[in-house]
Amino acid sequence: MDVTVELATMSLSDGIGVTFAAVGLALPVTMLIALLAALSVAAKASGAAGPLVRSAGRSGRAVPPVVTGCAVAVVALLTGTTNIGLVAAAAMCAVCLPTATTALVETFTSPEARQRLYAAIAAGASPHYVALVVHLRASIRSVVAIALRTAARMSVDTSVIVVALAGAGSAERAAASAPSSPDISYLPFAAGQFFAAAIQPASHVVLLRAATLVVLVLVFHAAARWLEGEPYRSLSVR
Amino acid sequence: MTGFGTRVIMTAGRLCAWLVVAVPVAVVGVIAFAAMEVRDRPADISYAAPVAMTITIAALAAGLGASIGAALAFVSEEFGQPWLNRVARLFIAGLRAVPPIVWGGLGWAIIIPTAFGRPGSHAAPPEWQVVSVAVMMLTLMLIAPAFGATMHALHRIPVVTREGAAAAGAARPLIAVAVLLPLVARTLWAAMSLGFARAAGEASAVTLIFLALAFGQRPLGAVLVGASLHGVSASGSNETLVLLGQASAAGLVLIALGFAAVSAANRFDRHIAWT
Repeated sequence: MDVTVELATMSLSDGIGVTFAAVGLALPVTMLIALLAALSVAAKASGAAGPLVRSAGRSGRAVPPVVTGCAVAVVALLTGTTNIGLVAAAAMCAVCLPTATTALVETFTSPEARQRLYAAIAAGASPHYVALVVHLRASIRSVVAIALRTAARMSVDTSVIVVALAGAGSAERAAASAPSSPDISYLPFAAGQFFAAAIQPASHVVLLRAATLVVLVLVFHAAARWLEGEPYRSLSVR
Repeated sequence: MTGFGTRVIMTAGRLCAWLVVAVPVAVVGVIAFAAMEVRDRPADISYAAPVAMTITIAALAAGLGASIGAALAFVSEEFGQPWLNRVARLFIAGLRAVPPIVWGGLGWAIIIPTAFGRPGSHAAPPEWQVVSVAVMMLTLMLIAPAFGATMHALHRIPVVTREGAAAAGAARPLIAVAVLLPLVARTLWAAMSLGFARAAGEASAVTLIFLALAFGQRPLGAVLVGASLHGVSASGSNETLVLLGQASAAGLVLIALGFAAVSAANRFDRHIAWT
């Protein structure tokens, strides 16, 4: 990507808009799909997909985010998609969906959740009702905490966005038959930070943006911790 | 909630569950398809050296990161005063909050003064220096998840185990070394395996750190990012697809390394908490 940028004109707010748009699009979609999938797994209504969802989270660790970004880039190039926000959102969704779903499944199938399930079934409720009403109501804080951690990851996972946007840049260049020269200010915050750090790592604005990224993640994680409580509880106790 | 409404939501949930399963499969499929684009072309990229570099850096970082994280968890949980425990958790929360791009920028900033800071000196830094900085940054990145995994493993041990050993007259260090350590050993191995997968797949940090060796050997993650970005400035969309194919081929190798590491981790401890 021919990044013709003058860091002197770069500001701290560059890329915030497109990041906000991409995360605002990707987060609800990811959480909705993950929530529905996790609820159906918890209610044992997903059939053969249930065990596969659990193993998708574990196997997802084997597929690095940058590789997912590369797959999104290939799809963007082949389909001619040039919308930066859309491509970034798709990449964020693809990276975070398996992990968010697995985290929700763990929450809904924890020993506490199982106790709720047995108590509700003993009271005459159907497993589906338990999944939809009892689990969701009892685990709302954990669900929000997972959403916050997912938002943090979406905002700062650089490699997936950079590589996915390479596909969008290629498609744009192919469509325009001219060299594309996107400005850093039009790239998502983390992607802009990548190029800025590569060009002038010691510049004031780059350091300020790095500090902003750290503070952003800290705030999201602190909020998740505040909602969820002690993070190192035993899994068997949970 | 009506029966019909429940059924609609559950059907949607079942579809979503299959979608979740399909996403990683689709990613591997697209990557394999793109990698096929370059099968008939002479390789512009040699993969042997990047693979060796990736394995070296990831193995060193995983070993160091998992050991340091586990040691910190052991000390703060088994021997530490409450204040030490709190400080350790704050430190880990701080490490967890630093994104890979910032670790990469930090590493790049460490290298720059020695490589380019002296007037008239624009020689690339020696390879060992760049590798050391990359290992250091990846190690710092892996301490937090290893700490969390060890804490969860320690909490999984029943209280009666510690109490039994103490009743038999064992001191705390002896309980830690002879009783608890063997019980969490498999989690440590699993943490090292998952740390390897994570370090091998980390791209943005190593790309920034290895910028100093622009034309030297780089890990696979940096090769993937470099080839993808190079594709944008290629002369035509065919050429771009070929370059993305080369990046995808590097991605396939990364996936293979990742699956090997995750399979090993599953054999050691299937219930490891790794976030």
